[in-house]
Amino acid sequence: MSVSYRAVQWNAAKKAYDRRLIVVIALYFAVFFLAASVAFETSPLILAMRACGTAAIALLIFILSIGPLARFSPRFSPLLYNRRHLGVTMFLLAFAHAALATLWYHGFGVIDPLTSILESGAAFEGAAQFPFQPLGLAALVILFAMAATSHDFWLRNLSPRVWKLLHLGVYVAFALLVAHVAFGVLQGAIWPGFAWMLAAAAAWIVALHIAAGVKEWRADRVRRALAADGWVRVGEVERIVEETTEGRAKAVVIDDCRKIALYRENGAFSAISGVCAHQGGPLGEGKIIDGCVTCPWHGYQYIASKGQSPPPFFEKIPTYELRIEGRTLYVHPQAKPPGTPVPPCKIAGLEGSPS
Amino acid sequence: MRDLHARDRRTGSSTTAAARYLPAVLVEFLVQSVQLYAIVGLLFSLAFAWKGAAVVDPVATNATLGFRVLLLPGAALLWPLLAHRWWKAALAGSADIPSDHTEHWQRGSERLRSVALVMWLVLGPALVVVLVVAHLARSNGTPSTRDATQLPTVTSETKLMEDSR
Repeated sequence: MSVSYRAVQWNAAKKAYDRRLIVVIALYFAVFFLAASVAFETSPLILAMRACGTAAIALLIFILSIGPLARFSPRFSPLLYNRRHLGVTMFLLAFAHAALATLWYHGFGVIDPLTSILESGAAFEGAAQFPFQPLGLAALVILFAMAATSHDFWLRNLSPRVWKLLHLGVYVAFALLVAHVAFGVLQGAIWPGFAWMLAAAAAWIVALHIAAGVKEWRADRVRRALAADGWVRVGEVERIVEETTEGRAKAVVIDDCRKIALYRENGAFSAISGVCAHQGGPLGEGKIIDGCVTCPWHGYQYIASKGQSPPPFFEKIPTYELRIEGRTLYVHPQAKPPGTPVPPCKIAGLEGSPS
Repeated sequence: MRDLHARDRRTGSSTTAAARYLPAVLVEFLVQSVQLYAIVGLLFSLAFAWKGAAVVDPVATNATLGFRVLLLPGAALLWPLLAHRWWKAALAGSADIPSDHTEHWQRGSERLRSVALVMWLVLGPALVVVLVVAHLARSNGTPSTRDATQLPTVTSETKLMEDSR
């Protein structure tokens, strides 16, 4: 959430997250150097290059796993909280790998390094001589674009849709990196287990994303009955009360794709957009903290009945009208403009507790 | 402009223009274009971080120095877009922030999901092909002694030529 921009919006949770990240990377480097220096007789610079490269690809696989895993279980949501720091760290590791490789293999010639990389394998005669270095370079360019635009300034100024589209490039970068490794280091006389590990990692990422996509698609296909005047039936009030607890929400989908979060607070329900204005996080899976709906992804907050962040913040989301007819709860499918206050829909006999 | 084909002639490499996956002229053009784009971008990014950011987005008016430093790589990368936005905002006297923090986000998210689905439908089989081809290339035994990151032939030969001068 932003009133004015800072370089990094650290808080206690993010600092703890980053400390763990640094410790894990340091441990990885220590183990890698220890094992590799015993197994291979090679220069420390080559070892450093390989340590950075393997750490970057392992971190990328971890990063790509977090999103779909969080779709299956909210236990993984805390990992999403500071994912951009993981991403920038991964880019820095990949950049260090590329810089060391460029220095070692292309840095001391008469040709400038970039030309040398693009010319590498220029006369390839088969798959084993495939020019794998340009593949790595292409992946690095994509990762650079993502790291350089990771600040919220870019999210706001490119628009969330364009920003997200740009950051979908990570999948292309992943495919390029798999090809870079498959036609690069795996073609050498190394332990064949590395090839199987790479294949398993690629299969894991593809399967996980397809499974999460199918789960989302199924959840969004629920057909909801319409009342004569166009309001959409959500369900029986007793059932919805059973399904929710104070300060939590029921997520519903109308028109096949529009997500709405019905928040229960102080014995009443408020309906807001189920998509966070920040990065499209699932507001229906958040909870009310300090009187504000809190997005499970990055902690953006909104007052449910007003559809806007508490002052001095200015993020806004659409709100929806609710009504009860008999014992059935309906929502009006027409969203109110972002930040439009809508009075909560009181449920008779439902007691609330201050959150 | 350096003659990259001449380099092949000097080294006696059998590389021909037809065998290259990227023609030498294209490589030269690509490298020079990237260098020019990067130089202009670097200069622009300094001006943008100092003045332009606050013009296109008023929230950046009192931003910290650390934030301005973090802007540099992105501004250098996206300088044509930002130059356009800066120009428009300066002419209009007010910033024009893209406004899809609204219901459009929902529809946009749906479209993005379709993009992601198509991407996986393409990338999934592509990854299988890459891994199978790479595995077969390895099984053929051709590159068994090859250091994966050895110097490309052309470059190493050129180096030797230059060293022997």
